[in-house]
Amino acid sequence: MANASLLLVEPRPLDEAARRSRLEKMFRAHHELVWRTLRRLGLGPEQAADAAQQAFLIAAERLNDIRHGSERAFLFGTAIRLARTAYRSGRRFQLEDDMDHRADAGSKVEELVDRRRAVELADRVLAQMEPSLLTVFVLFEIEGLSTPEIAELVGVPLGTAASRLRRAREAFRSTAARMERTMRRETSQ
Amino acid sequence: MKRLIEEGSTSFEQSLLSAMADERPSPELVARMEQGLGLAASGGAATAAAGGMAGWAKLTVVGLVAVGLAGVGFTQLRGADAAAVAPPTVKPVPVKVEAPVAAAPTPVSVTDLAVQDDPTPSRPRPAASGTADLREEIRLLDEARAAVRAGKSNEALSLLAKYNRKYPRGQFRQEAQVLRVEALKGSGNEEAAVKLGKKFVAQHPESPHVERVERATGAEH
Repeated sequence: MANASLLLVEPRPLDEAARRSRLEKMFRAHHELVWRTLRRLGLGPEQAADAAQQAFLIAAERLNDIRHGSERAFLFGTAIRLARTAYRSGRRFQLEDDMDHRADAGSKVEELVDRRRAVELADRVLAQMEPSLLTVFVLFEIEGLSTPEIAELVGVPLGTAASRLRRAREAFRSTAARMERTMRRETSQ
Repeated sequence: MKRLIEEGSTSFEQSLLSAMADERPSPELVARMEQGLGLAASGGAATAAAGGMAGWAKLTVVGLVAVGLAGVGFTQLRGADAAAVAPPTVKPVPVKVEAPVAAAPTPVSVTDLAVQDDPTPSRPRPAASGTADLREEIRLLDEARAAVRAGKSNEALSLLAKYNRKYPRGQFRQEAQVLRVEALKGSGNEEAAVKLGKKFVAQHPESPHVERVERATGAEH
């Protein structure tokens, strides 16, 4: 797990205006990333917004303790935990269980130009991924974090993070290929 | 290592990856988050700021309580499925607590940012402790953590025992248990650390603390 407490330093009290200003800057800089991470880790758009807000509330409470420059890591760590909790409560990917998605019948691969459709399909692919692999995949492939950064955040050795990433990629590619084949087959019928 | 989208991916994979990377919250959702945090330039935030305490600071406190409520179960906090439109006043924690089914309290670690697991949704209840208690819980655990890091294992164990006595149903019991494993290991009582670590993992196999416990007890694979 991410050892977020590594990001903590001795509190240096900020005055009210400085605290508000810092929280606001954090929000402006990172809210999209936090929201998107929560989305990719399985929450719906509105749930992700609520959880993102929760993440910033936690950050507000710990503002004095968050080292400057570590805001993003802190928020990532918080988002991951919130998503894990949501996962355990069974709210992750409220999608159909059927990977082949009969509801997709008739849709064309070309329709992927429709971003929303692509996001929906992508989430279905991610829904098949084991949570520990999913986190690493999302942080690396979607948010562009390095494997050392991910290892630190998730709290695993670098080799474990790299190994999880390899397995996550294999899982992603395999599921995506299966989905593409299914879609092509159905559109050709 | 390069990202898949940069090399070696099919066009289908690229479509999926770029769509995911490009997704943004809608302006409405951003406004809702801002309002909930008291950051909105007008409207609800202004309303919240009307008291003696700045609106956002109030929200911080409410947030703390909310995190406390998470002890009741953030797991139960639902997306505002039915709250697509933000209310005119600040909605500090627009997450909605889902009703029903009694269950064990679900501790949440603000300190370590680990939100506790409780797979069983439960009826919303008052927070197990008030804000002051919650702060005291955090303070005790912060001290215990500092003691563990400073190698003062016995002091840490003493603080953790105090925490247990004072907050048997505290919000951060998991965090306390993990610290106890670390403190036992640090005190040289490896056998007890391993035993407690195994118990923790058995009780909370999905906890985000599991890897930390396994690191502390040398059980990591």
